[in-house]
Amino acid sequence: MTNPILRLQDVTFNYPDGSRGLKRCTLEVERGSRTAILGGNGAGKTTLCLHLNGILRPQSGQVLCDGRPVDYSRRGLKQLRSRVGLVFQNPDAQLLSASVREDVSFGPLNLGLDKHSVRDRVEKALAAVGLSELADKPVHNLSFGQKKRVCLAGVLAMRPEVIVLDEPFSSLDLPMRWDLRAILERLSSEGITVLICCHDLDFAYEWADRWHIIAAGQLAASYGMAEVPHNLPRLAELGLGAPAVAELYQELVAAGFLSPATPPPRSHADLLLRIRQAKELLNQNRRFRL
Amino acid sequence: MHEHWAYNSRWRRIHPGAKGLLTFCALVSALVATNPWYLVTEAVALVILTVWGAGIPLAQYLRVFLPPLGFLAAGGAMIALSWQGPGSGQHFALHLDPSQLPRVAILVGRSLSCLAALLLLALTTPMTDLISLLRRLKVPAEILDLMTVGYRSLFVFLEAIHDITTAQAARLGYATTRTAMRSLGSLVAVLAMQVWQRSLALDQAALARANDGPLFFLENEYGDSRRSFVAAAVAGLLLMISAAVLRLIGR
Repeated sequence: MTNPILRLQDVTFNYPDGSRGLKRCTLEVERGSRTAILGGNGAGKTTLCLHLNGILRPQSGQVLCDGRPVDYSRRGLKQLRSRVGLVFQNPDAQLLSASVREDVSFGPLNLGLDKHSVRDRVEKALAAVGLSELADKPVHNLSFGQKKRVCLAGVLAMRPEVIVLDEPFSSLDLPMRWDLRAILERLSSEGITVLICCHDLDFAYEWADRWHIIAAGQLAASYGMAEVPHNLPRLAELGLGAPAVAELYQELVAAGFLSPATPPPRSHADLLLRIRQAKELLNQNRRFRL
Repeated sequence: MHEHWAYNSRWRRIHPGAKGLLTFCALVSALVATNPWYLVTEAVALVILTVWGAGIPLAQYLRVFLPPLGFLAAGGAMIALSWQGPGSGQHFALHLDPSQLPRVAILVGRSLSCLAALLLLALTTPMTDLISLLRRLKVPAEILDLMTVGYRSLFVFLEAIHDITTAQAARLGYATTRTAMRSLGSLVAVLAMQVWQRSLALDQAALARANDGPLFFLENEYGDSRRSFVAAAVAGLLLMISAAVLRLIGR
């Protein structure tokens, strides 16, 4: 990796009750990338997120932002948190104000911006997540998915370079998932580094550039997407299962229906396209033989 | 319910400062006035203003307005009636004391007026706007932070209580008095844990958004607030002057 914006170097953290958070965890997040952090429950994904935003401080090892160790002074933390935004899993644990517009303004005001700039950022962030019409609604009258979008708007309004989302799709219905996917696509196209902790391998396979797999507080594996179809047994060993598309692709290659030279499809739509292309080719060959 | 009307009233977009000013003047006027008819008239005027002016449905308004009247009636009765215990061959006796009636009339009128004034503000102004008004009035940040988080948490915990009691009821947790008591106990225990966990989570959420001090939020913008303030000041002054004049001329 050439240009990491964030790096964890041998980070160890245990909670006060003795439970393990991270154990000599080392990984990098490349600037402008889409990174998926995968792992089972209790693997250390949330602890990792809290380190990236400076909420937790490593007991040993260090977190580096832009190649420099994080400064844990008040000023240093403010700077880190203005660059790395964190969206929590449970929106009710993140939303502080009962008013949508007020809550979104909370982060930018903490950055010391003037009211005019804050107002501008709030309106743009609400528009980016499609919530402009609900800006004056009380938070407690919103649906779960809408609350999640308010959380995201609250972080977007701070204009961070990196956005870390902890389980963003949990408890969302399908249309809400599609909306969130579209927002994530837009963020990536704007050059924002997006890091998502999730369990959904199919989504992670289609969306991400790189997977970091965490197990027992450590980095167990790290794969670029081209490497994933060749490492399915290792994924199974780590208890993650396999992306359905990658598994089907492997089966089709093994059955001789797809050529091993075919680039591995990343999504269901991609796979269907490859199958149709292969069928077309097969039909053409048959016609030629006749 | 009251929350719902505060968000949907016609006066939602009027500056909370203007509504606060009118409420304050109405309260001062009610405290200054000693004429029961004036006090009742002021109360009726404020009710009309809230119901027809701000568009709060009368039935909903009465649902909030009537319960305190029960306390008021009990309080008035305690003053107007005198009580005599048994002794010297007499049994218990309850007497109406005519000398106390003017006092009761003023008390009832004043209470009605104050209640109507406070409901005018409460039913037309969401709590977030009230907190923002208090911030402008330089109320200490610690109190406002507590109000903000407390108000937000109220709804989170109401939802949690609903979820937990539903889950308990689904497993016959409230089938008998004994199981209901046990379920209630465990509900309190679980909620206590949740309060603690949520407070930690909210602290982390505030830190994650670069907060290291009091909680600040953007204030709402209100259309033509000068006009609202002038209207509130004129109405408020009218109320206070009328009350003062009536008191000076001894009516």
